[in-house]
Amino acid sequence: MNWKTLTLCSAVVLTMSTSALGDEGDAALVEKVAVRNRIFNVQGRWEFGGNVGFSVLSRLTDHYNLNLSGAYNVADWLGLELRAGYAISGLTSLAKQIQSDFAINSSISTANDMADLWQMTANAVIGARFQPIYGKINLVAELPIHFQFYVWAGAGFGLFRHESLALCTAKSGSTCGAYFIETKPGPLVSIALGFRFFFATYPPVPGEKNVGQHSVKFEVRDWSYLDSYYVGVVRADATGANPTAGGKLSPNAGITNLVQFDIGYSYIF
Amino acid sequence: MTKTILFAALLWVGTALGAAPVPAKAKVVAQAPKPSTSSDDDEDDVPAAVTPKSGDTKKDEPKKTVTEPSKTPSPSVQPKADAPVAVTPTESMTLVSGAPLNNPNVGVHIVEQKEVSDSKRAEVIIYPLAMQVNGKFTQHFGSMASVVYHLQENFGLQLTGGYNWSNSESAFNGELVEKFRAEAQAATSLLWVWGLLGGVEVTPLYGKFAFFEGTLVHFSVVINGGAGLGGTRHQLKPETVRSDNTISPATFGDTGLRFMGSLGAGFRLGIGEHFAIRLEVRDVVYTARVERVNGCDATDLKAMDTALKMGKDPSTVTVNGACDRGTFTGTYEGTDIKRSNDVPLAYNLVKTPSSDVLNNIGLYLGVSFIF
Repeated sequence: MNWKTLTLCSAVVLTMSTSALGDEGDAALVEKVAVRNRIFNVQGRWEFGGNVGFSVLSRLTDHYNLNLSGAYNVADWLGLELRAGYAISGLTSLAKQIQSDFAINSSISTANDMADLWQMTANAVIGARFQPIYGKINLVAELPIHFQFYVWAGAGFGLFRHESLALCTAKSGSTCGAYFIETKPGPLVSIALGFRFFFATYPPVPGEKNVGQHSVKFEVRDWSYLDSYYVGVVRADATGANPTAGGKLSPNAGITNLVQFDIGYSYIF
Repeated sequence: MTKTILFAALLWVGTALGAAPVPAKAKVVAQAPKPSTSSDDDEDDVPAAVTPKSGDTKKDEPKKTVTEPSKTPSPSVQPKADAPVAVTPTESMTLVSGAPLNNPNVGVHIVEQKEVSDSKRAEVIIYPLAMQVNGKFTQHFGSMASVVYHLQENFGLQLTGGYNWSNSESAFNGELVEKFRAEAQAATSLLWVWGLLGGVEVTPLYGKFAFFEGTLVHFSVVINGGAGLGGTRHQLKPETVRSDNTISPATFGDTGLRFMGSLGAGFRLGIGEHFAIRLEVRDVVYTARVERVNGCDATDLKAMDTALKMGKDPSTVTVNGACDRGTFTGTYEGTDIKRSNDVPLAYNLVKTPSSDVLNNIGLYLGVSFIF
């Protein structure tokens, strides 16, 4: 494909797009009026609510994250939000199966733990919600729903718990009664993409600060935190008092990404 | 799968709850100005009037409306629920699609007016990237294409096909093998190579949004479902690094055709009359039971494995007609890896049959041309 072809194609696409998006008399007039006069204005308003998140893909750990949130909308397109809560977490059935299978497998002399085993428990993040897209959708051509699409980014701190799959602290024959557990506080970064749908207790009035508005949020949220785990643990030397015998922290631990589907509600004051 | 269903159910309930309450009267599209109650579509009107601030937000209280001179062809009022409204002369209004644009008392369903009708039109969709997002033991990247013929505005027939140009076991599975000498069952880690599915697509939701109060974009929510066939394979030998730091590539065995079902949902953003961008999530479901590798069943593979252990050529073994012995003889092209090394690996896969129902949930990003 040479430059002429590329230029021609670009011109055709641009022309078609421009003609579609550009002003075309009455229809365009209607379009501009239709969405711009939003009835759910959030600028300068506080909101409080709650969120429940659950893991989209559970490999070794599973989380159900319960959060309370408070936000202030600096503008219709920008809000600042504080979220804090606690995640009910644990190992998945797959992880537990790996634990028990490994305990009875004496042919492996050196234990290397798996990556991504830290479970998030308490957590708090503050972030910005960039919400430049406001729209409405018709549910089966009858019921109009107003929504915002947003991107969220923020950081904070969390408490984390790690239960090893390989390091046993209470070995009893070919089974393990207890596994090596660590806890730590650590930094937390969170990003999210989502929609929030508005509804109101009373029919909202355009241009007024309508008290009694609600929003229901659906988002995909990623929680990122530092990973660490032991490798090269000599199983024969490991004891309850020294479960990491001969082992060291992996230099390639990286970052754990916990991806959750989050459902939330907030009341807009 | 349970979580997927839960997602869908919650999403549906949420969107149903997420509607602003609309009085029944406002649902009627008016063709002429007449007093009516305020509705969700009141934001469709240009407020060219001043509404006195009462400081009281009670919605049932009647409200006085003061109409001031406006540059627009018609004056308008600030609507309020159950409030008496001033009716302006019909002749002073701008009629758009039969409805007065500047009359706030008319519940015009602006959002229903689609820019372009899809009825009786065909749509060709290219998805350059279709990426699996639920890869626990497997990971797929591919390219797909669809053709949709819109029989009606909200209903079309769809044919989808594609090829996963990267399909392999996940790094997580590799880590399990390396550290714990454990791996997923054969059926659970079955790989999807290609597929061809036919079905339907419905567009139950249509809407538009503004970006920073400026650019307007029309979009629709699409839901599609279908059924068809797909080719599968299974990894036999994982990719490894040799002592000289060269890569020994993974090897695979064909595990045959599978019946597949698909269910998806996504957004279709219109760009002009002929183009659209699509972002969809599709769940391709297929049953996985690994009984044959390259057409050879457990009996065939056991016979070839026994022959190998006795130092014989596996191609001399008598097997069933469907078994492709040639895939286990010679070396892989461009490598010195003997194909016969795959025989014991393939036998291990099928000697203990396993079955599973796999969900390959993928994120499909595509562009479409409508004509």
